[in-house]
Amino acid sequence: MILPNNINSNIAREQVQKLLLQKALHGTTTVGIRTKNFTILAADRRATSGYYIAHKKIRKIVQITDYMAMTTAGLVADAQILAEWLSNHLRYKYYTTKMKPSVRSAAEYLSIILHSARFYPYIVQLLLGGYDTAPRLFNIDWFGSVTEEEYVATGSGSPIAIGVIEDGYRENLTEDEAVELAKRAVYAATKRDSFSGNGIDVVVIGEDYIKWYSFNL
Amino acid sequence: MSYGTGATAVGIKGRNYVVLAAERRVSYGGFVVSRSAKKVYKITDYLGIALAGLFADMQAIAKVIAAELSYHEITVGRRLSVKAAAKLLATILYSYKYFPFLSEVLVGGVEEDGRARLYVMDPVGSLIEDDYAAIGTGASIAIGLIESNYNIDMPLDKAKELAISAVKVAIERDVMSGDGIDILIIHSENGTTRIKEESIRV
Repeated sequence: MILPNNINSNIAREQVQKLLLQKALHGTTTVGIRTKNFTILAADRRATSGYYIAHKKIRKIVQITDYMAMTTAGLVADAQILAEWLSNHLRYKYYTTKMKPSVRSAAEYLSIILHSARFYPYIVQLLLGGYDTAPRLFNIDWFGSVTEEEYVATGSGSPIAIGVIEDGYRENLTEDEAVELAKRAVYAATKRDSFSGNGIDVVVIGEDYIKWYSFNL
Repeated sequence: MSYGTGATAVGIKGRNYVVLAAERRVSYGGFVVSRSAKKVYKITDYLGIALAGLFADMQAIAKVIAAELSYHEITVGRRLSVKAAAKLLATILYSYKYFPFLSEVLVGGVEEDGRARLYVMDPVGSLIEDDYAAIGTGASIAIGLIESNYNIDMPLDKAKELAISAVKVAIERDVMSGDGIDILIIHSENGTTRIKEESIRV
């Protein structure tokens, strides 16, 4: 890894990054919920550029493997690259070791990539959800920190969404109840966050299945 | 230009009518504080205004112009023409030039002789008469639709549809606009002027 040798330009660069981060990570709501038997990811479908709605039907949840999916918030280009890298890396590991990589190992892999770009970060906030031996949900920030969560929300609509989930979350929710909770959380955020809207995508990952839902608003 | 709480408002004029329409969202940055804010006001039974910008200033302007018109009618004994009312508001806005109201204004109404008038003002009171106008954060999106469909001889119901569609399109593509449309129609027919307020959900 190359260490910076000019401290001043480093500080200026970090300030620019901060601005970019705030602008890019702002416009979205994504939500993750983990229960005893499955993990759910949900996201809205709006892409904004300043106050302009640049896309009304963007997909923010990407399938990584047949047992793992990731929500992407932030710079679309960075998120797309990382999702592809991760998915190809996991396939490579599976072919060479004959073992399905755990969700945590995927999260740690992303963490290494993100942290190595510490001084010129990928501007992303990722939720990685899946089912290896049990349902898993990880929150990965743009510097590479990884935390395992029961429920989490990211993006500009996250304060609104998290309020709904805090009130409704139980570890033993049924699949229908959990989908409804995730949907309600993102829906509330689309009502009260200008930068979220235009529809809700939901994915449910269980022991041997992965199910997609899409709701128009 | 954004003054804080966003908005989109449009005005369309015909031979003997004016349609004013605006949406209903008040947003502090990204957080939607209200979904039922009023941005179109009936001031007298022949004049209305629509505004876009900082919501507090929009309400203040509406109160000020209503008071000024009442005051004039009571003291002079004659109602103020739409042209004069618009000019009066423009001078009031300009008098706050160094600490301006952060809001653009559309003044629409019908004169005593049945002629329709539409004026558009910037926050410091520049006054321009026009056949149609759009103001606010969603203006550039709304104006495209009006520009391509407008004609001075269009009937009232078509103009109303166009105004609603223009605000709708701005709501689709501007995050600061949304949550419903308020409409004000001032229409003169056979010597009588009628003013009608309407609200629709989006």
